[in-house]
Amino acid sequence: MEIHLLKSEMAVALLMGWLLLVDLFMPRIPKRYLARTAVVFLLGITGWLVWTGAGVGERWMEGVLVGGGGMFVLDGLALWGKEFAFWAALFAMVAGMRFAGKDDDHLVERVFLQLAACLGMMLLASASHFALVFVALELVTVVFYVLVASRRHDGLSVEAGVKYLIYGAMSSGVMLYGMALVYGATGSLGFAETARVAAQPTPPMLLKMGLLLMLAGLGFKLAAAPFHWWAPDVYEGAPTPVTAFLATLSKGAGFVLLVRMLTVAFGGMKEFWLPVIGVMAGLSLLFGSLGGISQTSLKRLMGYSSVAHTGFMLLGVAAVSCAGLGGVLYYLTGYLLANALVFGVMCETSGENPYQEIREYAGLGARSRWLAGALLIGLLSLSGIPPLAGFVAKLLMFKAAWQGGMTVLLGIALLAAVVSLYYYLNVIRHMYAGEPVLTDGLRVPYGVKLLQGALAAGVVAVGFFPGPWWDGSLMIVRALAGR
Amino acid sequence: MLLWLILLLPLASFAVIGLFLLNRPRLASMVSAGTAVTTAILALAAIWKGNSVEPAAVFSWLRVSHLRIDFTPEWDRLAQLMTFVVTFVGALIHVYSLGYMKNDAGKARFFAYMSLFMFSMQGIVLAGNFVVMFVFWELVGLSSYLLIGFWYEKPGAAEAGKKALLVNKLGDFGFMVGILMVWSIFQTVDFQRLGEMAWLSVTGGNEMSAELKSWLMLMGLLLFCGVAGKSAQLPLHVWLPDAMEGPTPVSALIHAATMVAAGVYMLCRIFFFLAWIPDVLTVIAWVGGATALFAALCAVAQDDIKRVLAYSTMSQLGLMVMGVGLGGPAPAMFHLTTHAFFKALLFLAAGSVLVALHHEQNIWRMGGLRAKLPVTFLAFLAGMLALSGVPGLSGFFSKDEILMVAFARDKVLFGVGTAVSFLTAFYMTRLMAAVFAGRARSEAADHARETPAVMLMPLVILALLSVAAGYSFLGVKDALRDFAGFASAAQAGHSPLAFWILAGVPFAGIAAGWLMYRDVSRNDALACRAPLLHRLLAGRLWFDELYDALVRHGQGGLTTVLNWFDTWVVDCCGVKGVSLSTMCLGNLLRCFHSGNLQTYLIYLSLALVILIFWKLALF
Repeated sequence: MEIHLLKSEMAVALLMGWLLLVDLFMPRIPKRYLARTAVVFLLGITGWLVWTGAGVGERWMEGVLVGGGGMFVLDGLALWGKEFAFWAALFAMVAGMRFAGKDDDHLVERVFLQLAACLGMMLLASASHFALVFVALELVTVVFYVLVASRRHDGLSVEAGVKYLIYGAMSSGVMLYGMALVYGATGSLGFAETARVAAQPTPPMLLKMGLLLMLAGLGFKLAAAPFHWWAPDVYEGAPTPVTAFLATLSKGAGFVLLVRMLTVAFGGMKEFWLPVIGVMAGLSLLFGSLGGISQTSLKRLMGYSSVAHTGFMLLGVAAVSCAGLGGVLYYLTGYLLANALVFGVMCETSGENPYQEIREYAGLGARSRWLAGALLIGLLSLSGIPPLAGFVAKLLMFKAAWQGGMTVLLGIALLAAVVSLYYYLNVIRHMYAGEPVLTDGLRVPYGVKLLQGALAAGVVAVGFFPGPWWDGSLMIVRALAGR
Repeated sequence: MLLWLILLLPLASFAVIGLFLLNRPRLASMVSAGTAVTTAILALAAIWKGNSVEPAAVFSWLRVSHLRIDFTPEWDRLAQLMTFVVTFVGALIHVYSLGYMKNDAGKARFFAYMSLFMFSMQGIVLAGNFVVMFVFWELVGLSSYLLIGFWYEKPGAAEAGKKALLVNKLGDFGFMVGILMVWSIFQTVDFQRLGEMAWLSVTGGNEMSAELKSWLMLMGLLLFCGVAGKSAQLPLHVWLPDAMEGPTPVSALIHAATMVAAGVYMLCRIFFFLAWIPDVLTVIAWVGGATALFAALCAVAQDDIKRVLAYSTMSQLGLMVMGVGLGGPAPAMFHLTTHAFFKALLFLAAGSVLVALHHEQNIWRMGGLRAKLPVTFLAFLAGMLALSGVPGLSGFFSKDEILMVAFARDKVLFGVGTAVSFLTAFYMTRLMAAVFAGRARSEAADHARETPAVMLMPLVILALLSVAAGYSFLGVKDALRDFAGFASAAQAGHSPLAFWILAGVPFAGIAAGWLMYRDVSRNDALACRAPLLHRLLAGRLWFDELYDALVRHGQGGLTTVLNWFDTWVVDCCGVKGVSLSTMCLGNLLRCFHSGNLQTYLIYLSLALVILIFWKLALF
């Protein structure tokens, strides 16, 4: 295997090993310094990846490198997925450090696990072979089993961990079974061979069955209805930074895989999978938006919100056009930034509000203008208010759906957008107009202010100047579809 | 690069003051004034380089299918001339404001708004397409609102700001619909691309269908709505006199020299395009002429020094609009430039009088200021003579050009213009006589003292320009003579008869004014001799009352009905019904999430089974 293609993955793996060894043999180094060092290193790797395009070259969005006999590809989508993984991990690590407080013995271990999940998504983004897909996906999922249950003294966290584990194990099983059926149909696990069989006029029954089972398994990762049942419970129970990580990295990984799998491996079976994706999109939109209305915990609400957003993105996948798929990547960018903002604020207030009750956000506007502003921008972007990133993202999805002729789905999506606006605005109403429970000011360190300011600026910039992001996403998807 | 600096420096100044310097008024005023002066110098440098200034980087803002919105600074002769006016007059007025606003409590806020205004105004000037222009158009409206209502604790100022905003919105709505029509007819909003199209269409214009013609007519009129709002043309003129509640430098900069001229500038910018719809131009010319005459009449009977000047501004804007409508954009821009100089001068001189008199604005409580404020008097005199169009000063040259076009095109409008010219000289003489001649008629006027040098210096510079800007050696006169965008404009011949009429009329006006107001008492001579006429004019033909009644009875009745509809039909049946049913549905869906893992797994298996049956067994 051409080992140089794995440079960025190896860098992360080395960082993980170094972190573990230093933590083990030099216990006197304060944990938060180690964690901060890891953040700096990861930032360095991210910078390097952005700068060089990992060897694919200057026009990395269109170039492609293949290794491992077609198992591992390095193209625009792969690099995009890796960068997404980096940023998601960075935000989650910073949030985790803020959440943990000063004396947390397991901080470095958690950072290690987060890096492992990041590594999983990096591999997944490049995988074009079902064996690698499964290994990478499980690397992400298994890490999350541990992370979700990592507050061992908190009953809710442990409960969520067990639920996630059992539900996830079943989904993985379903997915693995699907892969086995694909192997049975094609005699290979590579995407290229699968594509050849799928392009036949009447693809074998086994292949169809395999695809359905894999979509069900992926539905779990994406929290797409009707496979989303775990999401609200686990989102609520998991420690807040883990929820943030789950909402961003897990979703990003699922969509990168979905986009590659459906365009590259199963591009020939559009008529078959299109209705399935459409139904999943519609159900996710309904469950995600309607279910969130009467929630009282912001974390649980974010669980429903995440289901609804999956619905919006599936709308783009269902449009089976470059505009739709490119829109998904754009959507994920805005979604990552807005979620990092919202969960960042949640971590800041988690000390006094462990269950993230919405009514305890009352008076936040007066207590800390900064945090309230960050939460405001994050929520407004999630609900799709112009000129923020979420607005353009939704617009792109609607446009793709319209051009794809999916009028019913578009109607459901518009309805869902309005309904979800209600529950986001409800939080904002509490924040600025509610009768405050606590009145003392919240102190926010400068570093956090800087990060949140940058994120908010990012949300505005991506929304106000959609050009470069949109062009990049489109170029990546066009290159993928063109091969 | 240079152009971006000219555009963005004021924005930076606004941001810095707004974010950091609100508690440090002295520094804030220095930052703002310094920025304005720097911008003016940069603008001069850019104009010096002219068309050879390196093209600013295209900044593509928005691309949706084939709608493309770029921030590309337009830098043709028209933009250069207007940039010169905006930055130069702006810089002088900033310096003047240092003195005028010296002891105001909200000084930092004032300068922040002024910087915001400079940014927005420069944006209009450099805009290369309708959408960008509209964005800055609205920003200018916002900063104008903020500055009119600057002393928001005064109820009059707050009301005036609101009025200006609402009336402008009315015009802007038409403007926006017009822009949408441009987009739908031509599939582009870019001035240059529209220009290319219009050239094509002029040659084949005869084959235009009647339907297209009427659409174009509607489009032109809607675009003119924006102009009518911003440049205070009939019937959207009511906000401008009230806008004088703002600080005097604001009146000078925004409501005399630059912002209100933005409408005229916009007309010139799209002239190539309007020239193609002659009917619209005719409407524009008549609206302009009517405004000019109406405002000049109103100015004769006002008692407030700033209101006289406000009506005079309106009247001159009417002349410019008439000029464009008659097919003479170059004379209109020429008059815009000279008018910016002498009207800013008049306002600043009036401000100087107000400072000396502790903000006494009634001209019948002034008098005898010639000896007490000699510099202000001379400056005011220069402005007055230029405005009246006395031969040899800038106002004469520019007004002469517009009226020459009128003479060649439409004799009736030439008559209107001549009447306006006469009235202008008349009411300005009245103003001069009441303010500067005779004896002091109030205690404040008796104790008046000349204002500080920082305020007099801009006065002197503007006075020199007001005198000289008309001569061709300064280049203003011929700046747009061979501007490509005006290729289809009328070339007026020179008529000796018109020339002698125009040269004589100002003297007639001055003489009439002097005869009537030579010995000023406490009261208006017109009110004594023709009380009915005076009441009619002082009441400004009761436009405000008419609008008030219209709003109260027409809109008021409509809102009562709508309110009933909203309360009982929309809220009760619509909103409550929808929200209740949504809530119920949400609660129903929530029941699925029991928290029980076994149940979840059953759902999962069920979903899987249904999926497989649906996709594989049924088909």
